[in-house]
Amino acid sequence: MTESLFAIPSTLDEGFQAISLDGSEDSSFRLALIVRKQPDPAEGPFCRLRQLAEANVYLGCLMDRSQRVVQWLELWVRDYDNIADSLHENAFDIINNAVLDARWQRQRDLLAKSGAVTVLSTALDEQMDCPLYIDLYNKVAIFPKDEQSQMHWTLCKEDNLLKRLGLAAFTSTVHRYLYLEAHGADSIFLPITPNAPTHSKTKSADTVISARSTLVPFSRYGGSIIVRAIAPLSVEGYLNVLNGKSWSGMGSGRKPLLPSGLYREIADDLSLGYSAGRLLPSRSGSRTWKLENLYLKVRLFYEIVQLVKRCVEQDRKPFFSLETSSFAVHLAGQSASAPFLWDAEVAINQVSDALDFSVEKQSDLDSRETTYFRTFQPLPSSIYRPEALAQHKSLLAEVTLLDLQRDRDSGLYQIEGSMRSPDLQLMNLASKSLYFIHYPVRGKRLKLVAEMTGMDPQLPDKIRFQTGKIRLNSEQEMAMKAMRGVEQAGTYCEVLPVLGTPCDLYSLGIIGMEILFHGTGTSLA
Amino acid sequence: MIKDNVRTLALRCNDLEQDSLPKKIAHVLQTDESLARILMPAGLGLSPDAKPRIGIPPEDLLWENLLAIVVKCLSGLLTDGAYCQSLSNESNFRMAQIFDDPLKELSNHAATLRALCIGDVHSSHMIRNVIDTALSRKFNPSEA
Repeated sequence: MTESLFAIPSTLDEGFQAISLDGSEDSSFRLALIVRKQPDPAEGPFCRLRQLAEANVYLGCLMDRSQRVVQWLELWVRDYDNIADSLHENAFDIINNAVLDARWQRQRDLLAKSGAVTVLSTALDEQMDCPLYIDLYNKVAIFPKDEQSQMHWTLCKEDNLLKRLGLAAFTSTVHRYLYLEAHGADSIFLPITPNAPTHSKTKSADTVISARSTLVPFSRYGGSIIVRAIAPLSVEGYLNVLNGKSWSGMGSGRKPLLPSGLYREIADDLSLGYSAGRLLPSRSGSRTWKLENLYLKVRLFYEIVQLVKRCVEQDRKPFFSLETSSFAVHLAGQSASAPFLWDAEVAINQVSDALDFSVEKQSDLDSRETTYFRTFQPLPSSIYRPEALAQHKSLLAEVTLLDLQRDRDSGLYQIEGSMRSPDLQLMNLASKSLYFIHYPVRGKRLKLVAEMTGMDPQLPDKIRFQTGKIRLNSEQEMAMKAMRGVEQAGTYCEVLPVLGTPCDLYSLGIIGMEILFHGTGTSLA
Repeated sequence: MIKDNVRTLALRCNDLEQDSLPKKIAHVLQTDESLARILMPAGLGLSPDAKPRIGIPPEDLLWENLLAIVVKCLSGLLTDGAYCQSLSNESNFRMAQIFDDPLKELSNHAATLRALCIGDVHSSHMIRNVIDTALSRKFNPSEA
């Protein structure tokens, strides 16, 4: 790991400016956001490095008093615009702001502990309860205030207050509102998540805060901002460099930005042609060039697998959604005259998409809790993922309870039953799956987690199941005993394949394929 | 294209009786020209007729070993020899251990390739020194 990416401070390219996010003009160093002087038609004023499921990563820097860049940085800002739409149908009982906040913290810890690039401790680390806007005209970052009272708009986390006003609670939903804390229930509430419930006491945040067109939201959802040393190269960009193609620079949009130092070397066709960063002085396409390329590719593949292993060890969860874009590369070397491509390091760009849950299971000898994983959001089919990952299915089934057994020691119940649905016939029942059965008991849904214990060869649309151990109150016990042998039609069920880190290994196999065959002109699929 | 061909390669290997996967892969690629064209691309200096390939000793089966690592990562393709037989962990306590075998193999092959690259540097230096000495002897006999 390198402590400083660019030892010599550099000035910004024409067309870009740095707007300070903390510190005063007297500070020796300031954390700043890179902003385009002329907003890009597609990307707007900020330089977005990448877009993740629940975050945007923007280009920032640490600058000295002379406005020179001392170190390039990534600023990870939450983006929950699509979060409510992308969750599982029944995910709202497990995904909410409390979970999202914990997940964000976990992401920060993982990025810090994965060790590839430094995560900095900054003032933006704190759990900021105010959104952060950029005033492009005055070139300052501001926490918006109410014009009349001059109080800051703050994230409302008071569940009781929100519920009393008929708005979505903070900890149990994914919706967020801003309010004036001192005004309490008399405050106007500004919904900041799409589709958040509204009423007469709510107003649009765009009309109240961003009335001026030069005021642009940077961190609309509040919360801490992760600041990490930059890993500017995508894996594909790095492989292109190995293939002799120059690097186009950082950030989306029409005009990317080129940092100084080693990155200028790989952005220059002439330098690349003269083996910049290589050990073997050779021309593109020669035998030694290809040999060195193969070594650097194998090393890259190794570094990626190593990083995934380190993250799994830290996080105790599979990723489930690894792709080539899950990784970035930075050049850790200091000298352009050294073979700096040999020192390239890999950084992780994302956190696990898995959520864990436990089921108490009975074996012949004892009873123990087993942890399973499900995906955080529905994952579409992808070349990087085994098909089973897209097999999270919901269906309506005819469920019949056959037997209820009570464990004398624990007092918990285990239920056996059968399930029938035409959808089961279409599924790959040979693979190990968990069945979440939302069984109706006295007008409420009791969630049973079961495993298949057998199939009926005569009826391919029917399976037998056994649940994990569950606690039942006397009312539920009586109701379920009364339902023994009765077919309960239209019962909502979810089927989740039992998956783990071998899914990540599968993704790594495809990523390895992509790395090894890069430059052959043949498509992956 | 590549993924489909790797899948075909794995299925063909399942039918063979050689003792190791890289040897099976080498056999399939020697006998099936169309597969070899895709999976030993000339663009990487790996075409079967390129001699001497890109300086990798053919007996090392280095490329075939790398292909074997990729194939073994894809659970469900091989009847035996894959790193994992299914997509679930046998034990949640060993979630990270499944990466150990591919890491060990990749590390070995990276070391071989690094040695070949560095070996090339040494060879270049030796050749240059010999030429320098020869030129000096010819044009500056007194210095030699």
